[in-house]
Amino acid sequence: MASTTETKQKKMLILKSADNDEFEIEESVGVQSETIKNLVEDGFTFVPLPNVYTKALIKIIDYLKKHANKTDSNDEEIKTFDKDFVNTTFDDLFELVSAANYLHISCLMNMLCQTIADRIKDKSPEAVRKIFHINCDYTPEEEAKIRKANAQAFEGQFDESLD
Amino acid sequence: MPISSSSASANDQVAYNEGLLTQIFLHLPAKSLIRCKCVSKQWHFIITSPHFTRLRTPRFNPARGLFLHCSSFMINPFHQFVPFTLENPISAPVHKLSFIDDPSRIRILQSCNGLLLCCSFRVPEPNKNYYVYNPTTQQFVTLLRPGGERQITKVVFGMELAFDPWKSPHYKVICTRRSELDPDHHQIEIYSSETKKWRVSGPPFPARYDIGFAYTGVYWNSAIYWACGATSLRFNVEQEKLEKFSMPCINNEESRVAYYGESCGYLHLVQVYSRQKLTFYNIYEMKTDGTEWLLKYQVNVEDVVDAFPHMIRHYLEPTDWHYFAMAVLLVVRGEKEEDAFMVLHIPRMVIRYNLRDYTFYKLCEFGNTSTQDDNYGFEEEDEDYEVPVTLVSLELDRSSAFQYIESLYSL
Repeated sequence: MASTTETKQKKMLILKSADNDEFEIEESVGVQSETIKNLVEDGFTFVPLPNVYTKALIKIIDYLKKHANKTDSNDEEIKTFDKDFVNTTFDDLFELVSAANYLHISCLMNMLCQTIADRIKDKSPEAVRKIFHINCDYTPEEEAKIRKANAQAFEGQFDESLD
Repeated sequence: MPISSSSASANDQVAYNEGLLTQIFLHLPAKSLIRCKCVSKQWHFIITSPHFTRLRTPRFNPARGLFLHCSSFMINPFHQFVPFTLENPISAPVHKLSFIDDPSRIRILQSCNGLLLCCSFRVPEPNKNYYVYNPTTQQFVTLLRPGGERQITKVVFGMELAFDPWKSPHYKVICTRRSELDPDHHQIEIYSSETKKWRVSGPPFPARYDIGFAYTGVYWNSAIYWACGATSLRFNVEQEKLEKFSMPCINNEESRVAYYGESCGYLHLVQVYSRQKLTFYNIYEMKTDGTEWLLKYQVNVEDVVDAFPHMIRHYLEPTDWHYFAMAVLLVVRGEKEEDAFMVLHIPRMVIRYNLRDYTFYKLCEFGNTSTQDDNYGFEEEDEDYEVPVTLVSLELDRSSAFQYIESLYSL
């Protein structure tokens, strides 16, 4: 009898964010992350995630729950969910992509990288720098040289917006 | 509101994280990547690294268009770019083939997995310059002359590029030249981009004047192929060995080789079946081990003749090999079987012919209108130049069509 109740009872995991919030999720939801799966296979049920902050973790748990219940019938629903999921600021996307990278959730990584790429592909290097908060370390002469060598790629108008 | 107060650090985690950036960059189109080299030195380093170039090279990287070299004794040479899709055609990767100010202009000799081997046009050999050029990134290198300072190699018969980004991040150039020891012998010399040096390879071999080494070499599966009748030659670049290879159905004297070339890792040979059946093409593919040709497609391009009867040379006998003015410029393969097509040239036109369902359509038309189309054409210097229209003559052949394959390989 004891064993049947155990199998009926879903195995649970506790995830702890970098800002020390704890979340209880089903093991089957959590193991979509390779990082969590490896820890579970080593017998852990308490998973500290020192690189993932609470707000990103909440979003990612939402994502994992949604995708854990993937069936043939809710395909459209998941597509809509994914579309909303990535419809956010660059800063949020960066936060999510580094969390997804740390957690090794490949489908989420793929979706986030594709989203970021699609949103920067037509932007000017200046806009890309601002979006990524990168200081240009080229001298104006060096930059001009690279632009000249790749003149064809710099023809036309580019998107200067930061969203 | 941002997800967390740690956004600034998350930005740093992305903006300077090589692994994460690599994954994002892999989703960017080539032109965006080239622009991103300008963002910072680290981004430039990642995008031009051999590691990234290799990751970015798709296993199936079919040609997206053709560079056509148009020239005759009447006209100045120019290259025209023909994209392979009509819906969403890609724009010409370069508008002018003038990456270097070569006073005699530049001619493409060979296209190999994204790189073009080019040389000075109509310049006698000792003064001819050879270039390796990547039209996607527009980088080029001028090759050293083979033979070094001794300048023993005045007579160069051919240069061929051997480059396979899946096998090695380095390319080689194979030069076939007259032997200094015996004028009736050829000598092969190899340039390696790794050592940046030429060196003599193997002993001199009896001259083969039946092979035009200049425009006919095709690099496939570690070897350069020169198809030429019963005793065709290939040079295995890894083993540095010359070998003979057989042609399909050489016992059938009534057949003719219309084309051979490489696409997506396949070596193809197109054969016109016979004088009686000039519209029947057999398309062979070389077995992976290079031992025999396998018949892959059989097509009858009769419909193309019916649609464009201006290719018929009525003044010739219908069994004359030249009765139809039609040339096979390229066979392209893709990831899927239905992606396979053939590029045909008939007077004034380039046709795309699907090898699966035998449908076809016109990719471009030369002449008064199309060469002035800024989207497709790029010319060298003579801006208002037009192709003269001569009926029932072909402007191009196999040695004037070069695949455009996108590559981020850094020269």
